[in-house]
Amino acid sequence: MALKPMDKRNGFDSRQALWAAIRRMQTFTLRTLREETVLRLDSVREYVVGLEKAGFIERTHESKRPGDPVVWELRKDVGVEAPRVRKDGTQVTMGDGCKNMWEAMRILRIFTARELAVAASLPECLVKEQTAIDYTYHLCRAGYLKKSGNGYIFLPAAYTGPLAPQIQRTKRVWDPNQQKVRWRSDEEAGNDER
Amino acid sequence: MKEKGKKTDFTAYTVAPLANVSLCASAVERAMQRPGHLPGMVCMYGPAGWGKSKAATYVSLKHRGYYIQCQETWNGRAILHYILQTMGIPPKQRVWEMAEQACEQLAKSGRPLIVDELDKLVEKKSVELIRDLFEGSGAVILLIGEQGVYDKLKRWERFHRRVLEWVQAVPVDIEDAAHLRRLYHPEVEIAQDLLERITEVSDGSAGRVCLNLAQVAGFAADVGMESVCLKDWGSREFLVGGSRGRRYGA
Repeated sequence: MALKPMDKRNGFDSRQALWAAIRRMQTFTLRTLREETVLRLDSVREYVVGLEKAGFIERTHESKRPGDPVVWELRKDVGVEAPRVRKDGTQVTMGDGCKNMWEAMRILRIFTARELAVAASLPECLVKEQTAIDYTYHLCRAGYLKKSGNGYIFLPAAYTGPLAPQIQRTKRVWDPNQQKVRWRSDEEAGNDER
Repeated sequence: MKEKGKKTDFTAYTVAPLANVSLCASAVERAMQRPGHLPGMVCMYGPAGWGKSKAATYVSLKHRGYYIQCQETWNGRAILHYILQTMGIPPKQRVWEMAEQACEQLAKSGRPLIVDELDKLVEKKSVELIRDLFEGSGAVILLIGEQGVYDKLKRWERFHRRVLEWVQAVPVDIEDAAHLRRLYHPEVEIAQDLLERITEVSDGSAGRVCLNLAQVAGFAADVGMESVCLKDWGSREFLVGGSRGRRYGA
């Protein structure tokens, strides 16, 4: 799927949109799914193949001749959150560290970067202290965290939803819950034409 | 260092080996695999600072749970509002509709609900709402409360009966203390005798062990030592009970 930074994608998470459409329709073909979501055919196909491999959907009708489309049906509905699967059906693990930190800081409320890294680490996904330092630094700039001594405080009101804010390569903080850029670095802000 | 084809176990770098974390995690796992006719609520209780919330954090991340921390002011609507917020679902208007939304998501996702600081609800009717959510979804619910919560919940008999397992938090021991040292102060060695002393004075509280470890680590950094034993520490004071206020840095 497209690897453009989130804020360049018209605030549109294609995986989430496809999943929502599949849950609405229950049975679908690539074509009806594409009509429903207005996405490019290859991104639709990629996600559908991944979902099938992972067992979330099943074919109920095979294509017998050209023009006779394959029909899929939703088999494993896991709720609103779109399964994060790759084309081969395996779990997407990118961003798991940030996801765990975002969740952990809400529970810890008061923490240092090291405490956050420890709390957010699972045997299958370790979070390095440096990663936690970078993440907290950016979230603090973006107003989610308040500095307190050499630690941070997470204010309950700063919680915007289950999706972890992302630090983009362009050094912006993107909040996928609110679908907006929460912070951008000074140089970049200076370059903005106003 | 890495062997090919063999996955290294990184458990040692997480909180998983701590006694209370593993007690809580295995109780939740048993509840997730329980036979259908058994109830699915697990309640962990124990004094403040013993590491219950650490256990809740671990379980929440491990099983992608929906975690809420109850507040004194919450009523039923507030509970549902926050649960739906952590699910990323825009809440509908009526309370029963919100309960339906939450139940549907819990049932479909198969992810547990984690209710921390249950004490704050226990005097109110809203505990019955938690039971409703269980009945409406069959989801595993992990409840976390202070020491007295077991008795307080007896008042809600129907609720009490839905609890599959009561997990009493255990006091911190020397192994926990050694693991906490490895996690939070990997740069300084602390000798067995000093660890024992710290465990002793901390009166069961893992939180207090952490504070004392931080003091020792701070001392080691000040005098430039890489390893500290009881003799080095001498008659310096430890933090024993009283204020549990947290301090950062010097």
